[in-house]
Amino acid sequence: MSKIFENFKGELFKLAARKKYLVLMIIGMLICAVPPLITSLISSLARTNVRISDVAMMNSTLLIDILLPIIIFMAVTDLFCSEFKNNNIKITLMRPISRFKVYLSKTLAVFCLVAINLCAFWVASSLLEFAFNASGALPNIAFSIAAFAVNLVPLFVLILMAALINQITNGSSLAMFLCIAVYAALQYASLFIGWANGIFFVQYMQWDRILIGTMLPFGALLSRVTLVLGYGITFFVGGLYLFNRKEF
Amino acid sequence: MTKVLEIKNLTKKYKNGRGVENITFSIEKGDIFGILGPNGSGKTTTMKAIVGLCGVDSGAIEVFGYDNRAEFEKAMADVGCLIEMPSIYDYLSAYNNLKLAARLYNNVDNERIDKALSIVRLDKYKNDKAGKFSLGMKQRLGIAMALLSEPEFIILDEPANGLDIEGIVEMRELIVRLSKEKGVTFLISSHISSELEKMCNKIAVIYDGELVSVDSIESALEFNPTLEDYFLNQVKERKGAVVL
Repeated sequence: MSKIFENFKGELFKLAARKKYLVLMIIGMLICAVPPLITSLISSLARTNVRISDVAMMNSTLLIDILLPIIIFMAVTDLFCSEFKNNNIKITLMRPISRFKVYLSKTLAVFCLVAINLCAFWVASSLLEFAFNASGALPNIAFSIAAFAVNLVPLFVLILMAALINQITNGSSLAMFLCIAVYAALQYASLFIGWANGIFFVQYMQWDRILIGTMLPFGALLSRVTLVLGYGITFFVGGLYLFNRKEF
Repeated sequence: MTKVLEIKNLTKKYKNGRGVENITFSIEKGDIFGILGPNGSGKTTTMKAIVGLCGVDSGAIEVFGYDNRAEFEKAMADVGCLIEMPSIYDYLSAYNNLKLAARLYNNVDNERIDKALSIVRLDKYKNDKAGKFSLGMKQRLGIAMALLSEPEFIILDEPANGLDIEGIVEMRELIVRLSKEKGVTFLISSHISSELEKMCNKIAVIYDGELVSVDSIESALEFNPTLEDYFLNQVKERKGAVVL
């Protein structure tokens, strides 16, 4: 367990050393500012108190469906495919740590990066909501924390999907392209294929809409949760199998 | 003597037909064991199989008595390696590259990292990005990584690659000193016979994926003036006359 943690810290250190993730986090926080600014503008133009509630929730589509997947694909590609290509994965693999622990710690490091980003987005959204809320009503903090937190589960499954894709490609550009292409294809498959509606986990990226604020029947809720978890297990096992067989 | 490494009937073939076949040898504690062979003969494949970078088709490898597949972590606990080109992160400083590698060892502190850098004379450049290093400096950093945890067994694949004359001499002296003073065991591959002749006490010749011979350096040089002659004689006996 300590080796997983030590390697996890190392992987996180590598991600932190790349400034692009900081830039992307700042972009995400700026995106959080758009809805309250628009609300404020409409309010001043209409000379009435227009209130768009739950800014944090409004931003989640843009952040969770687009920005965070891009961050995930970049981070996973940096930790897997780029290291395969540059051969510096050997630094870790020649040390006394099993490949299972390396694989797990890399995926956990990306998960941590995503959690930090989500946390930053939540803070930015909540502060802006509070600042621009003309009605003076306090935002529902517990609700918005829960909304952001539950979204980490499908995002972790997305990390595992990206990690699997990284095991079957050799170039980092190709891996990045494939991650985006597969994600987009699964996301919008139901527009073209009727039976694809609801069977891909990426269609349930926003767990806050499934678990919070809606009254889905327990059976439907359970089937969606188990579907996402099932995808997660499959991606993890498949990715680990290929990672174990990889030769350098 | 304690066996540090034991390889039994190792076979690893790549899709292109290259690789190694039926390799068997063992290394005892304190040995400086050289593997001599031309480019593409299977030296690196053998080393990669030892450290788990590639799988094997058949055979067994034990490091410190531990099977390197079933008990990988125990087998690699006291092993330092430099295989092929040094693996470093270009966007990190020399110090941070070592710091990253140090996380998986309990006995490596900041002082040890500084010492490893000074051994390979990179202490002046510890905060420079490794991406800006010359090939020789990268090789030195790779050697520092192999020495970092003060391992009992060090595997070096073509360690003289990219090093200048002073660097080669320093590295050789370091290897001999560590072996004599601390009983560190070395497995070193090279295609330059003179380099191995100056530091090894045992030598194995690999040719075309097969182990041709394993001898002590004294018996190798008993009827041959140099290791180069020994190599050519061994290969000639095995494969017929070598066309030069």
